[in-house]
Amino acid sequence: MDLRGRSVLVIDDDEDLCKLLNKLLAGSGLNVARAATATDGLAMLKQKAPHIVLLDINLGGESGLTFLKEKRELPNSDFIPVVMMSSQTDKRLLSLSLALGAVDFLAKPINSQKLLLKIKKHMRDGPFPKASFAEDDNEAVADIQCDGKISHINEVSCLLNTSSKIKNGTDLKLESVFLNEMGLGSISNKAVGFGLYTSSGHFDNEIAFVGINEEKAKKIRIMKTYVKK
Amino acid sequence: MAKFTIQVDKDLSDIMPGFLNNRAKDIGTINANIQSGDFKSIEVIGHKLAGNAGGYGMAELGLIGKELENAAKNHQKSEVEQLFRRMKDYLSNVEIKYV
Amino acid sequence: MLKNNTNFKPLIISLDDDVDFNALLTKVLTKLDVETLTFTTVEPFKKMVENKKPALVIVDLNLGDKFGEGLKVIADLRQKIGDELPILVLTKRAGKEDVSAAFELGASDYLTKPLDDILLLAKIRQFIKISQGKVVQAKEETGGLSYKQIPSHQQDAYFHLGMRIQEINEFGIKITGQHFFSRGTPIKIKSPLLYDLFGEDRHYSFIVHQNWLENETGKAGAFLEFDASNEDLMAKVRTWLLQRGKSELVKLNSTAPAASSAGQTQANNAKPVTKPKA
Repeated sequence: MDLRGRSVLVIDDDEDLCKLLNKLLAGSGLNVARAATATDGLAMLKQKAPHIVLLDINLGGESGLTFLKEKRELPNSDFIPVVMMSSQTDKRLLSLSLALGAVDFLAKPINSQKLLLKIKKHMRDGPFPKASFAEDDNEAVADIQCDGKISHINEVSCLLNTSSKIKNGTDLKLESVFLNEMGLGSISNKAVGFGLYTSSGHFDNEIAFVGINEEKAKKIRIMKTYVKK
Repeated sequence: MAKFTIQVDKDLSDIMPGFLNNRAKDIGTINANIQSGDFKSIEVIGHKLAGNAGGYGMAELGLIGKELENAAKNHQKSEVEQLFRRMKDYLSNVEIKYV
Repeated sequence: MLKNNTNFKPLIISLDDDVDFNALLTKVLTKLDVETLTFTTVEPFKKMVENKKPALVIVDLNLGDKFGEGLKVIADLRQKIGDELPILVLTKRAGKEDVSAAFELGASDYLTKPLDDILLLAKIRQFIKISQGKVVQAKEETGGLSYKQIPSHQQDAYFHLGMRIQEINEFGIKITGQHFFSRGTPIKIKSPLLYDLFGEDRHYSFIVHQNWLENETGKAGAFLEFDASNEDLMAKVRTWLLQRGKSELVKLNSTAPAASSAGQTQANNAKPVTKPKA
């Protein structure tokens, strides 16, 4: 499994252990973030969710357990596994940790192969929660800002070349310096017909001028064509 | 005790000086703690040593640390002093060969 | 050019390996004042199209056994004939054929089988307008008005289209709506959801990585991919999803259903234990 780009949050207050872990983890391409206390660890977890947490069982007393208890309260926290790092003498704390949600443990002194193996085993490889939105959810409304080129014009419509095929009947508002100069800046537009394919990824969409008056149409009529079509 | 060599992964060469430095500090602390009778602090140092030394290629030192932790836990003063001597010996005689 | 209007008919050429369908198509098209030629094999079809220069062609995407045969025909036609010729493609209603691929290779529109004859006729009329005995494409003919070309340095235009965000996952954003966006093109999208996710109320740029069309409903969709090399971005997305998303997915290592976002469950590999007092 390729660990590159994945992140691990290491929570420990032991400088020597920390340096060693950095060494062992960096070589595999993992991003290592570190916290020295349970409080810092939780803050970092909330801010930038890692793929896995390595938690020293002995964070000055019982703080390792505190971290686990508070992590449990966070939504969807099951998606971030916690692996404890513990010594022989910490058996009681270890059982408690597992009961509070830690998924596994690594015995100290840390063996580099076992470390990477456990990380790979527990790292969330599978799908993360996804957020789906209903048809009527106002928050999910999306505005797409598009650009295109108006290649041709006549008294009732223009041809807009763009990378989207606009649905027949869509109300639009075209912004263009040219249209402004022609006095058509305030006119609303509507897509008509079916966008015709022109060249890789681009479509010619016919855009009608809604409610154009005689005066403005005249301006277009007397427009000189610069290039022979 | 005679000098002895241990082989350590060359990847650890840049963090080893820091580790040894901290152990030197530990020695100072243990010394003071033995004088003051602070077994708890010695227990903590022993615990950390047990957990870390192996990772830095010093398994034997780790074992000393574990025994030191136990002895300090049980307030066994002469045991603690003996293990402290072994710890100092180890650290002053160890030579590291990076491979 | 023929003098007599009534003798001149636009030509429609179709390609479908189903003879029964071809007979049906010919029948339906008699309602229009057009001439119809049907083919069941590719080479004769292509030859005829090149020689006769029809007003419109119809191509079935499900030609024969080979996948992508129909798509290849479209690509070849576009290359040989150019952009002016309207190409309608036929697809199975419940089929998985990639209509979007057909568009990107140059199809102008699509119809599903079984054939809705009224819709077919309407679409053909859209693309072919007949005026004074001369066949012109729809874009050239708008109540007798011809188009004038705008100088290239004055052609830039901007506009907005509405779509909806259907889903956000750790890989990107799924949008749906009425409009079809080409693959590989940049898109700028603004939404209250993205404001919540990224923190700024503005348009964000993405590239369209996938697109599709639902044959039945004509609804279009696109998938906008997150830049996976941007670690900060990916972490932000993961964190946001954890707060927002439903844990609909079963955890890999456990047999129990995933925890609800509000509740707490123990990891299933732990032995059941009474909760320690807080």
